[in-house]
Order: sequence, then structure tokens, then C-alpha cells
Amino acid sequence: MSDSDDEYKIAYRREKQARKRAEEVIEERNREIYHLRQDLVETREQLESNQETLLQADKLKSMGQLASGITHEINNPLAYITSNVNLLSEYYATLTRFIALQRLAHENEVDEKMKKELALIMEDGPEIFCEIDEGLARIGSIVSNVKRFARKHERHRALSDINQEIRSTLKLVEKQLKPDTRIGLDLENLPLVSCNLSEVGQVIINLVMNADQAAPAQGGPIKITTRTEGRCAVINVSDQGSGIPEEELENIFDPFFTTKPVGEGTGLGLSVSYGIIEDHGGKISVASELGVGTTFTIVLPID
Amino acid sequence: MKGMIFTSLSDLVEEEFGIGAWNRALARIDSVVDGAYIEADNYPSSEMLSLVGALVEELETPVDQLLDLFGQKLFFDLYRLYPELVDRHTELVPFLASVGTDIHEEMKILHVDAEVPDMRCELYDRNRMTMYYDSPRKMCLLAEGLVRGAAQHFGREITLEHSECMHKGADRCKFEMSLVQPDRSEHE
Ligand code: HEM
Ligand SMILES: Nc1ncnc2c1ncn2[C@@H]1O[C@H](COP(=O)(O)OP(=O)(O)OP(=O)(O)O)[C@@H](O)[C@H]1O
Ligand SMILES: [Mg+2]
Repeated sequence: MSDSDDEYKIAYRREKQARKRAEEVIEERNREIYHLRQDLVETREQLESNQETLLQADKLKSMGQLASGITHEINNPLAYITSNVNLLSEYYATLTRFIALQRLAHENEVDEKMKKELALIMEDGPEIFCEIDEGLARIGSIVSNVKRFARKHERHRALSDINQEIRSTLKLVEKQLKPDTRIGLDLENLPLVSCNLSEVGQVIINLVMNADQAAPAQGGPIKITTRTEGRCAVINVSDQGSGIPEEELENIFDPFFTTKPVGEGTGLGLSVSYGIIEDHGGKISVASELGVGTTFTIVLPID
Repeated sequence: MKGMIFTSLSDLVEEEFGIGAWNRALARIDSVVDGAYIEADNYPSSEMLSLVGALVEELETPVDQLLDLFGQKLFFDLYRLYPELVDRHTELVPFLASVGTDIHEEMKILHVDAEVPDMRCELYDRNRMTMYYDSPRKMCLLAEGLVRGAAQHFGREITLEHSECMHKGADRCKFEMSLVQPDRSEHE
């Protein structure tokens, strides 16, 4: 064997070793790329969901400003319409009594056509006033609900037992739920939370009513859980109802967004709830899968 | 130090002086990988200095000649690997001025562990510049070769005076360079 053969043998061994190492390096880099990709995907998802939450909060904030402007403008005319209608209804009562007496006295002077018209007025009047009252009450309640969504309340806050409030609230709504609806409770010991209990109770009612309305005709299971996470109280309300289509998720907190028939839903339940929770410095969010169910999560700061 | 600098050197020696010369040079040093260098790895820069020393003895070539040759070959290989970084330029002087500010900076982004020298330039006009080289590895002779490789690449002839040198007690090396045929182009 020549010198030069030996030289190539040495070089060959070296090259083989280099190739082995190169293959290892490729493997290492592939793994690195895989992990980096994984991280990127996660970061992107996180960013997208943060972005969505921000947009949502921004939209609801400007809706709140609009709503508070409108309710302010409606409130004034509503107040004088209501008081004038009340006055008018008293006047009407007096007038109808007077007309009845007059009719007796002048029975013969009134022709048949006039008699019929008067009878109609006397009969319809109270019904008309009744409907006006109902309508005004409805407008009044919508306005006050919109106001709750829109405005910062500096209402009374006290250190409160949320679990206790959930139990007593449920007693109030149970009768209104579908026959087979069952509410399961899994309430962990919570520290006292500084909040306005009646408002938090209102949120629970809204969520439970929605969950019940999403259940099949006879009702379905609803689950309420509470737990502490760091310095926050977390409340979950989940159902196994219809679920919410993805394209509607960004709208459900909007005032007047409803998928329920006219007269059944105003679309204020969730926007009021959103306003209340934001007002408490908390967060309300939703996760839903069509045909599987929906979970609303409320996070309230404990301090 | 990047493996590609080592593989570039081994290619150069094998091509110009034969595999036997490279084997013998490797045998003179204490290589961490027994000379099985690959582009994608890093090796201690002290090993590059030992290799250069071993080659100077093995080939009985002066170190400035060897590094000049190596610098030109290395520029050729760098261009092969990163053509887009060099092709941004059409003229030698602006290109050289951008190595320290742009190209080496991009190397540090591309390879987090890259160890590049500190290179600052003073441009007097299109034709005359001073380059300051500063690096703990003190491979100024390699830098000289790289500059000559670049000159060749851009089709320019230059004069280069290594007027101050780290190996002679200066804090940094100073290269004073000018084009032999002045650049009269309008652009760049
Ligand atoms: C002609 C101009 C250039 C000069 C004078 C120069 C100078 C040098 C020198 C002397 C080194 C050795 C390390 C040190 O001394 O600290 C080095 C390393 C390096 N240079 Fe340059 N260079 C030039 C152009 C380029 C170009 C065009 C590229 C790439 C497109 C490049 C990429 C690198 C890389 C990757 C290293 C190795 C980094 C490491 O080992 O971690 N250089 N350069
Ligand atoms: N648990 C749920 N499951 C499925 N859909 C829901 C659920 N909760 C809310 N939704 C959807 O969000 C919409 C808005 O709810 P929101 O409570 O604001 O209004 P509403 O229930 O329609 O009317 P209101 O509460 O004013 O009576 C609902 O119409 C429904 O489409
Ligand atoms: Mg509702």
C-alpha cells in the first residue's frame, strides 16, 4: 500500500466522522425548529385571542357611551310622558263619570250615533291607558337596563359571600326554569369578595336563564362552580345546551343582540352582566361548542 | 468560531498542497474533533490559530502569505454561502464600509454565537478609506486576505498599507486602502 493510499484512508475516516456529526447537527436543528414552530403557533394564538378581547372591550366601551347618551335623552321625555299620561288618565276618569251623568240627564237629546260612539270611548279608554302604562314600563325597564350596562355605578360594595348569594339567587329563579332543568353546584370555599351582591346575583340570574333557554324543551343540566385562582374568585356557569355559533361569539355581549324571538329576548342580559363585571374590575368570558354546550367564566378580583 | 472557516481552510490546503499536507498539519495540533470539521458547528478560535501555526511550519510558508491566500479563498466561500449579502453592492469601497456595520451584524443575528471582529471605517472619498480592525482573535492578516478577496470579486485593484498592528502593540489594526484606478461611476 502506498503512502498516498494511507493519506486517503486517514482523510476518509475523518470525512466519515464529519458526516456523522453533520447528520446529528441536522437532527438537532430539526428539533429546534420544531420547538420554535410550536412556540410561534402558541404565541400567535395568544396574540389573536388578546387582540379579539381588546377589540371586544373597545367596541363595548363605545357602545356604552352611545347607549348612555341615548338613555339620557330618552329619560327626560319618558318622565314627562309618564306623569302626563297618569294625569290624563285621572282626567279621563273624571270626564267619563261626568259624561255618564250627563247622558242620564239628556238621554233624549243624544242621537243613536253619538250614543254608540260614547259607549265605545267609555269601554276602550281604560284598556288604552293600560296598554300605554305597559309600554311605558317596558321602555323604562329597557332604559334602566341599558344604563346599567353603560354607566359606572358607585353603588354600595361590601365584603360578601358569593357562594351564599348564588344559593339564595337560585331559590328565586328555580320556579321559572324548565321542568327537567337541574342545577349542580360545586362551590369551593371562597374568601369574602368586595362587591355589590345584588348586582352579582343579577349576573348569575342572567347566565342561568340563558343556560336554561339554551337547553332542550324539557330542560337540561346546568353546573355552577366557584374556586379561587391566585387573588381572584372564579365562577363558572356551564350548560349542555345548543351552544353558540362561532360567528356570534363576538356579538353576544352587545346590547340588543339576541337570537330569541321578538318579545322573548331583549338581548340585554349579557351586556348588563358585562357592564356589572367590568365595573367590579373583573372579566367575563365565554367558551362554547355548537351542540355541546357553553361555559361562561367570571373572574372577580378578591381585593 | 464558525465551522465554515475551518472547512474553507481544509479545502484550500487539500486543493493547493494535497491531502497529506492537511493530515500532517492536523497531526501537529490537538483538535477537539480530530479535524472532522463541519460547516454547521463551532470550534474554539484558538484551534484556528494552532492550525495556522501548524501549517506555517508544515508548508514552510510565511504566515502573511498563507493568510492572504486563505482570506481570498474564505471570501470566495462566504460569497458562495451568502451571495445576497454581497450582491447588495456593486462597488468595493462602499461594500468594505458595510461589512462591520451591516454584514457582521447580520451574522450575529443569523448565528447567535458568531464571533466577528469589530470593524470601523473612515471613508475619505469613493477611492480612499481607512479600516480599523479590532478582535480578541487578532486575525488581522486574515482580514487583509479577505479584503483582497473582496477586491478580486469586485474587479478592483487596491493598495493596502497595514500601518498599525495589534501584533505590534497597537490597540487595533489600521488598514489604509486606496483604489489603483479611481472609481468614476456616478452611482452607489
Ligand atoms: C472583506 C471584508 C471582510 C472582512 C475584512 C472580514 C473580517 C473577518 C475576520 C477577520 C473574521 C475572523 C474573526 C475575527 O477576526 O474576530 C471574520 C469572521 C466572520 N465573518 Fe467576516 N469579514 C469580511 C466579510 C465578510 C462577509 C462578506 C461575510 C458574510 C457574508 C462575513 C461573515 C463572517 C463570518 C460568518 C465570520 C465567522 C464568525 C464566527 O466565527 O463566529 N464576513 N470576518
Ligand atoms: N348559555 C347559552 N347558550 C346558547 N346561547 C346563548 C347562551 N347565553 C347567551 N346565548 C346567546 O346570546 C344571546 C344574547 O344573550 P342575552 O342574555 O344578552 O340576551 P337574551 O337572552 O337574548 O335576551 P334577555 O337576556 O335580554 O332576555 C342570546 O340570544 C343567545 O343567542
Ligand atoms: Mg338572556
